[in-house]
Amino acid sequence: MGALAAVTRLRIAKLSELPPDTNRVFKLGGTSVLLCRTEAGVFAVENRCTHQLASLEGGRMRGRHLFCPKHGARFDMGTGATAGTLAKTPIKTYRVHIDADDNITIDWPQSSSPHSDGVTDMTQVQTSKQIVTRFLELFSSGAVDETMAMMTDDATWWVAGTMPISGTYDKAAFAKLLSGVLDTCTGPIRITPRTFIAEGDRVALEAESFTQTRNGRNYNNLYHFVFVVRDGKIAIVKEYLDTMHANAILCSA
Amino acid sequence: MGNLPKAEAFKFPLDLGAPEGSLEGKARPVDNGSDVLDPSRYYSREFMQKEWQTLWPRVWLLAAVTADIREPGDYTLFQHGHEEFLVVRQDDGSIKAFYNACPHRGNRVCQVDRGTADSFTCPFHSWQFGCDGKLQKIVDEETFNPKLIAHRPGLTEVRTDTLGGLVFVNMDGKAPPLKEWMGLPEGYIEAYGLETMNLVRHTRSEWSSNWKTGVDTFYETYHLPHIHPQTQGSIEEFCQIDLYKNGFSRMIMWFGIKSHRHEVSHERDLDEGAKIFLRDAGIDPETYTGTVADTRRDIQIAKRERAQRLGLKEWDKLTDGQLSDGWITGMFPNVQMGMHAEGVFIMRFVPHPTDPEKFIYDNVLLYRHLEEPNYNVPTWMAMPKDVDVTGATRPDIERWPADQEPAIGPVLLQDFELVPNVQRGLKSRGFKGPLWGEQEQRIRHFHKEVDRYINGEN
Repeated sequence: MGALAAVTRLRIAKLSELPPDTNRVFKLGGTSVLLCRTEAGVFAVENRCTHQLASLEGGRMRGRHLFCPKHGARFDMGTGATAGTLAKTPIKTYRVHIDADDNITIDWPQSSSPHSDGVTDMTQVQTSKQIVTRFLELFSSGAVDETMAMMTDDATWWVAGTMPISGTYDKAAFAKLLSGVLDTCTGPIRITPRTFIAEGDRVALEAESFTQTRNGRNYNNLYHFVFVVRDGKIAIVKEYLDTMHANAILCSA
Repeated sequence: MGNLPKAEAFKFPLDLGAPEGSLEGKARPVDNGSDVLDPSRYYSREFMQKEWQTLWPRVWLLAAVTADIREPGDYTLFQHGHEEFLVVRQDDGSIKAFYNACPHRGNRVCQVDRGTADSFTCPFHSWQFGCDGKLQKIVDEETFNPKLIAHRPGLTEVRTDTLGGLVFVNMDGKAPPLKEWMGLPEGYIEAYGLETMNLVRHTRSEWSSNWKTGVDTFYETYHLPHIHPQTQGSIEEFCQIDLYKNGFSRMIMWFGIKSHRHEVSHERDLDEGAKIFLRDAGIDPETYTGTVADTRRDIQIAKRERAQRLGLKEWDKLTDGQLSDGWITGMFPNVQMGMHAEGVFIMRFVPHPTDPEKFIYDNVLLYRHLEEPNYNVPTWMAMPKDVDVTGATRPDIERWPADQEPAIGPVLLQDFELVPNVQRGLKSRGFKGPLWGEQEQRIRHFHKEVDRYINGEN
């Protein structure tokens, strides 16, 4: 263990996304970080007041100081230090860097980081997750054309295992497969995302599906998906699932 | 060049000879008699209760300086005894003040000294109020009997008004308008331009005496040669005293010149303190050619020249006397302000919430910053080193535990040590009441006004 805590640089946003005299919340893993901009600079602090654990978002700022919008506890955004007697514990702060291209990055403790080297683009990570979330919403609505429109033209979908429907599909082939499966069901296949892990353009998630087949059986599978996102669309899908359950319910319908 | 009379000709009281009716002019004498007052006013709980019934609610209390609440949403707390007020700058630029008590259960809604906010949330159950004091939210409102909250309970407003950068509150709402009530000559406070100054230091310490014992101590210069002997070479304790209406008063103290009773070995024998005053005015004491009798006048000339060079328009309104002297101004009931060209030293003698034999000494220094090398807060104001005086950072209130010496500079510390001894003797069976001389006439003037409130005449 060195004297200095190992940190990773996380890219959070462009300076232009943070107008002067505003602050904005970014979710980094399980931590809510408040990015703050005043004439004194750009600061990053943990978005949790140490007084009564309220969000600091929207709190007024003066120079280096941030006032909790609830009860006025005041923090030095550079050091985290408190003033007065209301909050006794400093808030966590993160060192902020702004590069020549106005990218805002912060020093993130390595132990809580998704990976350990280079700069992680948090904006891209957020965007990738949002695209996948939107895609699964479309998928779950049963609207095949709209779902397909959110896949790139060269998209591929791979289904794990040795079932008759296992293997790699191109976009047209997958559209056909999906329509065929939906024809045997009484409604759309609803896929509910559970947990996300994202890195750059790659999003991994656990998910659960549910539908009923026309012959009265419940299809309720558990998945691990890997998505690769490109240009706001889904480029690659890898679908790991309980193939025995899928084979029994869908392939015998 | 010497304009000082010889020591033997130096008679009290001074009349500086300014035109009658001018801000500097000597006020007409007031005959306050020669009663010896019952000293129980300094320690009895009955008297303290009377003050809470007939004095504090009826007067205007200095609650804040506008320098602390410049922008809409800026707020500051003002404590007075057990009462506390939240003073807030409104969106339209006006100022409102509220009792800092949640209408729900009484909890102190705001618990920080100052800040800036869009709303106030009570920490107890998160009832929320606007900067205008109006109720914004009751958490789980459907669980209240609608009749109980039909009046939409907000923060209770208290009457407020401002004058020359000072914010006042009047609890019972019935005091005469602030301008009428203010006993000082018109334009007196305004001449110094307090609103263009920044608050650069704020100290708050607990002193072991009644608040009036504190006022008395600071209302006279008679004690200077004895309690503060180190000031003899640089401050003249004989001063012009002016008694104004409504208990207000002023003494003009000459700073930067030796006391008439201070003995020197020769006419160029400058005291270290006098050298400090010269240096603050931009005069190098090592090359200074004047005598001990010239320093005050030369300080005036040097300051006037510097003000013109710097284009310091605020000083145009000030007389030469105001450039060198301290106009020590008593604002009834519990405020004294040292008015100086560079800044204003405000001391409040705040009654203790429960104990008549304690008060809170609240000290605020306002200072007009200039971007000029060799121009700084006057040395005698005893600012700690490395404090930002540019106004960029409003310093936090410095507080000390009751049993600890406050870091308020050597002169005030001498008063801090004096006061508990006075308080003890005031309670003695052997003490029959204060015998105030003419150098202490401001004290009598102050107590006479207190008595008018206590006796229900005001």
